Amino acid sequence: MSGQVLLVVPEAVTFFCDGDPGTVDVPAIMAYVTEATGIPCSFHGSVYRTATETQRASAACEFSRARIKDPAKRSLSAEPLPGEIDYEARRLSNPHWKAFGVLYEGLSYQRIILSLMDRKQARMSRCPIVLTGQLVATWDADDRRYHARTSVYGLPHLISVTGLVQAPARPRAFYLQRHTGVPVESLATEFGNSFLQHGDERITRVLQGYVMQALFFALVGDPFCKDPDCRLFNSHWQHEVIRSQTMGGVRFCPEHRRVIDRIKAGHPGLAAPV
Amino acid sequence: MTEKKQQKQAIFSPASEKDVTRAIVGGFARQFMEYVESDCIIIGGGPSGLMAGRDIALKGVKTLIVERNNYIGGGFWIGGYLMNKVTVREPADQILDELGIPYEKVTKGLVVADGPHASSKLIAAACDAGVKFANMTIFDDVVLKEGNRVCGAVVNWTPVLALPREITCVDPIALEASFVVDATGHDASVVRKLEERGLLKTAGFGAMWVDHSEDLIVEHTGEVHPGLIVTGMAVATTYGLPRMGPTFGGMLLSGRRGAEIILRQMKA
Repeated sequence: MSGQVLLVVPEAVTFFCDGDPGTVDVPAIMAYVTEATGIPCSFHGSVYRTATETQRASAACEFSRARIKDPAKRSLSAEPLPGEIDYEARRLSNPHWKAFGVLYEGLSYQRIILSLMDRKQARMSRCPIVLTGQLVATWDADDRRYHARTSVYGLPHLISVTGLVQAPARPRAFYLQRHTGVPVESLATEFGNSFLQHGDERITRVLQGYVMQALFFALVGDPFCKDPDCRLFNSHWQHEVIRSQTMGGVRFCPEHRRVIDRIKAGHPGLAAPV
Repeated sequence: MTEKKQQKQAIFSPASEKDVTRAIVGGFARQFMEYVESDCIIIGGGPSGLMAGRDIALKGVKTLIVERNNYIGGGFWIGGYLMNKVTVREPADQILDELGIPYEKVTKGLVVADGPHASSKLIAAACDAGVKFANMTIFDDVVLKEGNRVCGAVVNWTPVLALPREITCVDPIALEASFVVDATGHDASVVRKLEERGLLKTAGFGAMWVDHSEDLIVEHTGEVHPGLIVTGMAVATTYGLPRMGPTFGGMLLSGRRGAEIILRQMKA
């Protein structure tokens, strides 16, 4: 990120939910973003709220087709079962939906949600961010398999609250013990705070950093930083998530800090050279 | 000592070998004749099958559970790694309360019970509700009628499979029912049979491990083909849902959901 980079600062950051956000404190995340950048934020509830019945019915089929059945195969479900479509239809019509565990192809999931969104909000200038309770994965061409992700940035930006818990790897000893049949709940007690858990009170704080990654994707096309202490660090392990998002005063590297300060100083305004 | 005195001193009433044999054969035959046609046949006597059977039988539904082993209860006897403690997450602890199964709280939302105690209570509850069992009986095929609706199961004695084919050319027999439940666990044997016939396509067992994915099992429990309800881990195989730990709350609630669906359809 050196030299002159033209920043196109979004006019707003808009938040949506996909299912029950659980214990996530969305107003606290919005307050953080506005405080850090000066960009106004708004919350619009369920991302499916404005979709018509016809759109939802069509989306139920599309979501069923976006299911990943075998992470080692790139092919998705060509012919979903009626039970899968029924499940998706019930999920879309219930803003308090809590069940998760189906792994969806992230880019398809993003595309389907975009097709259901209010057109006025589905623009990069509004920086739409969907906090989903579902799990998404993308194909990794290097090891030729799908990997669960915490986020898929684009239009809209998807951040998986469940993915924060499930996608980054936990300590190796955790997997060894789980393999012997020890319940995850017991292991969670044993391993203390070394990884995020469902309903973890740290998740709101962690999400603040991931929302800033989404914002940087919108600003410069690169959401990540190589500094493991910067909130934009692309964490693959739980200890990295906890280090970059909850420890050491929670900070940005000097380079990204400068960009954030410029945004705050220059906003409102569409472009500012760095 | 006279014979009369000896009889008085014996603990048990006298019964000849032939009386014992007649009691076994007669009792079995009467029940089998009656259950050649039932309202619901549940394939698999694990926790989801027992729970479904118990709930529908309580409502007067004539229910037969087919179990390939001689023991009923499936994996409910044993938790992970052959340790006979079974874990259940809330709200399925309410079912433990309902069945009078003692348990201890482990952490918030998680309880642990003794596998043998939990299994025997669940089996007793199913028996008390009126469920009948055909154990040591293996599912062989489905009975299909108009519109390929599942209307029964073809079964055989389990030991037949264990013997050389040259001496066990034993044809199976068919049992009829308005509904069949696939509660066969990971095997999803009934669903697989429909797949063999090209009537549906399963996804197989999901390769990814996801904590707390029991909700998905319950939410996907339902009629997968006309006349065929799928419950328990067979749901995971049918829909390719992720792997999860050995917590049994999902099995119990899935069985209950399956029962609700059957009862709703029977009313309709």
